[in-house]
Amino acid sequence: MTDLAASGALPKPKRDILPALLPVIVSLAMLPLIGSLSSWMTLTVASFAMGMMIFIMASGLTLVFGLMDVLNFGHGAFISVGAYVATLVLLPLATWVQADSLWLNLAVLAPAALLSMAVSGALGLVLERVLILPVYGQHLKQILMTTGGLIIAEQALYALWGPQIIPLPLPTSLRGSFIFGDVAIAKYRLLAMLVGLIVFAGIQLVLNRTKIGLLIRAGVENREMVEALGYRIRRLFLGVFMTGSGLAGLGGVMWALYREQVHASMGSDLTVLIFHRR
Amino acid sequence: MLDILLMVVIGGMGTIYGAIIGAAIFILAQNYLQTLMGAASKAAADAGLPLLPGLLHPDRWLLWLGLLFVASLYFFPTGVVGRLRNPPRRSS
Repeated sequence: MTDLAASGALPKPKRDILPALLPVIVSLAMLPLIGSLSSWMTLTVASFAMGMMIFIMASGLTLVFGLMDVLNFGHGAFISVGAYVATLVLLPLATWVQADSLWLNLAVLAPAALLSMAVSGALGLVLERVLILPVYGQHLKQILMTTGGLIIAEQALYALWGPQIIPLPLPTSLRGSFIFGDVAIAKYRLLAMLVGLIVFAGIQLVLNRTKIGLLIRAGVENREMVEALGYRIRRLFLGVFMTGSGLAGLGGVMWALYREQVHASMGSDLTVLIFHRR
Repeated sequence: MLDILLMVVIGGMGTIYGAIIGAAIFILAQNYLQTLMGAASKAAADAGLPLLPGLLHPDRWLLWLGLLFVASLYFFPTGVVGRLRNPPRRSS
């Protein structure tokens, strides 16, 4: 009973309404400028989906920078690695990708995405241990180290796969768009939106509703206290870093499929964009 | 942009002649590392080694410079000049 009373007295967690409403307000403000409702709808949904894809990549950076205070300029490396690993699955199974069946397409897309998440997560583990561990708490060094890591990873990709652009066709059933009246919504953008929303909900749930999320947030507030309570905060933050890089890999797959090509410099091209979003 | 950053960090941040030394090392690497790597790549290809010719290809000189960059951050955190200024006690 006392427990209940105590939890009742806790202040409500703050909900940020205004930042969440801002995209809605901005897009509504654009409506009179565009003029036609149907083309406004098409454009809004398309840009929302594109934003979601960038969000998937940026969410990893948010986790790493916001929670661990690590400036990771090498985040783009995970994006490129994720995209290249996806080609390892998608190109040999090209017949499945070209098949005109949604389930067959998804059956090849899902392992590709999972594999690239796993590989970029593992790369994140290595990068954190080798490059970031010696420079914890020193922002300038972190930037330099991770920039060096980005260069090395990008050049290693060039060395392994060659400098040419790899074409990566979109699965057949994800091409084209749904037409509702005058509004056209590309199928792939719908999928990107769905994945982005799932990632968003997943991060929110884990951070706010589970014990691990509680420990991560507590570790951000007061690192020593959580360590004193007997939790290995290093390992926890390592897990956060790996999750962040895995999400970057997933975002890389989505982006590569959206552009229908894979290139080693795509990660460094996107880095600036992601830092904006963060 | 990246080239300039590499020059400054390798030479030593916050010093004037550090930048000169870094630029010298960088340009030397750019010009001679590629020739050296070309020879090494050919030798590796002739020996029939896998993967190594690709890694040593002259176009991949930035890979090795990146490794040099990270190594210099490890071992000369204050750059070549900072290391030469106070060599003995600063090592950790």
